[in-house]
Amino acid sequence: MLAAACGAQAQDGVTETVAQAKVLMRSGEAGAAQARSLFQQAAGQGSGPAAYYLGLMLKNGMGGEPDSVAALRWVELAARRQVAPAMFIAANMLASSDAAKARHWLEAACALEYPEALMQKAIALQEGTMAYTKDQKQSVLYFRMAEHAMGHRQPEL
Amino acid sequence: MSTALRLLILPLAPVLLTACSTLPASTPAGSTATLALLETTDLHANVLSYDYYKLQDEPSIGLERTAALIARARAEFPNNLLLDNGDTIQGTALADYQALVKPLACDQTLAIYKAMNLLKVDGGGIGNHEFNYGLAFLSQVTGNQFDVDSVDATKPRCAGPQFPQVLANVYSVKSGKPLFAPYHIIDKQITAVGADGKLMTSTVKVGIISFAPPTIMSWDKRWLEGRVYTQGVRETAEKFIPEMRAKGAELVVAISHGGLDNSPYSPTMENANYYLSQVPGVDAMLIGHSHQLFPNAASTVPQFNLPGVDKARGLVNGVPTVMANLWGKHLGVIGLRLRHDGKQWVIDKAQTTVEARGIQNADKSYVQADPAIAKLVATEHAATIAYVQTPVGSTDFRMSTYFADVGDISAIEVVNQAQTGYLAAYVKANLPQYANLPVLSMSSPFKSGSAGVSDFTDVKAGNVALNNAADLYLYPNALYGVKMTGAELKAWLEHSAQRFNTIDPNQTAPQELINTAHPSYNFDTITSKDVSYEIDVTQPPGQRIKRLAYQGKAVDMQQQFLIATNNYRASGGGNFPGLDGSKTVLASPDNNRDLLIAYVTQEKQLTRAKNGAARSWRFASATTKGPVVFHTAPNVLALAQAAGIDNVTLLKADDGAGKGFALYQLDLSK
Repeated sequence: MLAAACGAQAQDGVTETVAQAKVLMRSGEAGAAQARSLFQQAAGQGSGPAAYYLGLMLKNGMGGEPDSVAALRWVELAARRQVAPAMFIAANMLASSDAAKARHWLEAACALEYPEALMQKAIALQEGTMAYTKDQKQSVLYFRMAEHAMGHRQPEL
Repeated sequence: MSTALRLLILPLAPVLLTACSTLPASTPAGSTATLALLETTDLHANVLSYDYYKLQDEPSIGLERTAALIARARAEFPNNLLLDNGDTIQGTALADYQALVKPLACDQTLAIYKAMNLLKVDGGGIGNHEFNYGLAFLSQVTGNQFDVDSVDATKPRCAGPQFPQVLANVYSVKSGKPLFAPYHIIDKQITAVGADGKLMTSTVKVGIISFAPPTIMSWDKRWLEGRVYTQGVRETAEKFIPEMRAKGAELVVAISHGGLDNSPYSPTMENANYYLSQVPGVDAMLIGHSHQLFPNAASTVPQFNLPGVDKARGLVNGVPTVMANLWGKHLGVIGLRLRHDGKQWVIDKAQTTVEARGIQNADKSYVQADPAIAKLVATEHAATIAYVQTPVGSTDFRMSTYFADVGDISAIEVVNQAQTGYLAAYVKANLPQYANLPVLSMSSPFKSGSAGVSDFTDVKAGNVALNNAADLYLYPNALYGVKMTGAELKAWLEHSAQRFNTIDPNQTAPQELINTAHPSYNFDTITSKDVSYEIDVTQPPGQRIKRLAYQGKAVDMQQQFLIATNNYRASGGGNFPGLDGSKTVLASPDNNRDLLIAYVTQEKQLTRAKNGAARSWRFASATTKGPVVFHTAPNVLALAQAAGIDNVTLLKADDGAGKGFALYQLDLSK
């Protein structure tokens, strides 16, 4: 019981760190370096959202030079931690270099009803891209699923 | 009741059986029965197998086809209850028509409920989308009189469905009472097999209770805030199930509009059924919302691999559970094997079966629709089609994408205008800190022949109707706004310009202009009198955007802009630099297509001068030794000329590829 209480407290601490880091990230360049550091700390404690935001900062060169390799590494870690937007970003970052992996992440995000992923799969089915076989009927259904999923999308992490 | 008396009754008329079955303790211990729970979920007003935007049949969906599965299941399981999980009344143009365009009269019943009445639905839950049209509408169409703010208490009770609807975890702020009856106990008469092996009639008391995702409070905040509140699914079940048992419920069926999630429990969690299954007294769960099939042994969905979840047998922590996908594509079937213990019916979970049956046959065809449903809603269906075809405005020019790759903006500018107008108004009203930033918009040609020579946007001059708006804005996106610097804006345009191959001016052989690996929907462009730029296709990708100017001055790389786009792009679709959610300042719930419709409705008459002439980009001038070519539909050159594209000529009416395209030449020197 004590261990569970301590675990919950630690979880609250990580959530708080991520919230603080997000404020810093959005405050402009002044806070960006500290935001990176806080995200890294929280990601090290198992936070998926922290890994995701750190990946975005690295991808966009916020608080330091852009580093697309490290960005992808963090984004994929967040994806493995079930962060749907990270799955979608990973799918798009990998689309031109590793189609199988890109599709894996796209499917994972679709399973979580991430609207943009459903949309991308709809397009891929429509055009026969991302190693999907062209299927107009399925495509139409995925477009509708994307539209529906927009109606109850998840709040920001 | 003695065995002798029972034997005497058995061959008699059903009316006598019914009378006798209501006697208490009429069912002896050891009697058995099978009771099937049939689930529909997330029907989303798909009464018929029809796509209202395409105005064509869509046999893979629709309650009129689920009806065939229901009939079969009822033949197989004479003891059955047909229960709906919710998200029933919203989701098609038919639903919008009945809620918004010609709101349902008090004495009328929604088309979806009419069909459900015909199918003799026994009970229903309430989903999140039931709240989309507001509390007054929901109160009316469900035949309720909600005691909440925003609902006129003096209005009479209106027509509703003919089956009980329950919802346990949404409460009125005003009264502190549940909005709907939290549960209902159905006295279900069944045919059972007595301990002596003979048929008999009995009654089983089935309690149904339903839950909506507490997250409705954010999704429909504008309707619900200050008027209703939610309680957690687990707490609500713990409160009401003992009460249901005390009132005689022998079985408790939880109709819970949510999926499975084993994140730590919270009273606001959206998909709480993993925890609901652990509440004592839950005998079966009919779930939904996440539009999945359960059971499904082949599923790779992570939530179906949680500890305690048996995705092959359809058990969640031992509780028989089904989720029947969406739009009437499947029917959930739980075959509860019941045994009477002398006091009440109890479930033999080991013998219980769970399935989700589809409307698609093994040979890929679909089950036949029940013609009675189409007949029943023919008037509403016809009215919806007429509504979709109703002009919302007109255009004095043909809006098409045949030449969008070479600068025709006739089908692009109106989208950008609608998006810009929306974002500018939003900023003015809600984001004063950005009031001084220029507002721009990006849009792309969604249809550029990738699916064949007819796959182009083409809205003829004349009336513009709702289905034309779907042609102009194909995808179901939502309007998003992002804040970008001049450098990021340029990088965005550079990425878009990958639509083109790098043209070698010295090559004499024909060169293809279009890089088909970069789809047209990723060719975002600006159409604004304030912005101009050139695309130099003789340069490699990343170095093609030249002379980017805002209001006649070169864009400062530090200057900030607000740019209207869509959720797909703003969230990382297409892997555009800087566009990954980190620059989003507005994540609107409003659909780009809807705001385009609103724009056309407001403008009334679209004209070429006003809505199809602001070309922000041109190709940088270059002299090439050989022809630069591209493919589009034949017989449309006049459209390019009408759009002011004067550097295109027809080379071949048939490009020889056998798909009906023509070959055109682009003169980059003009």
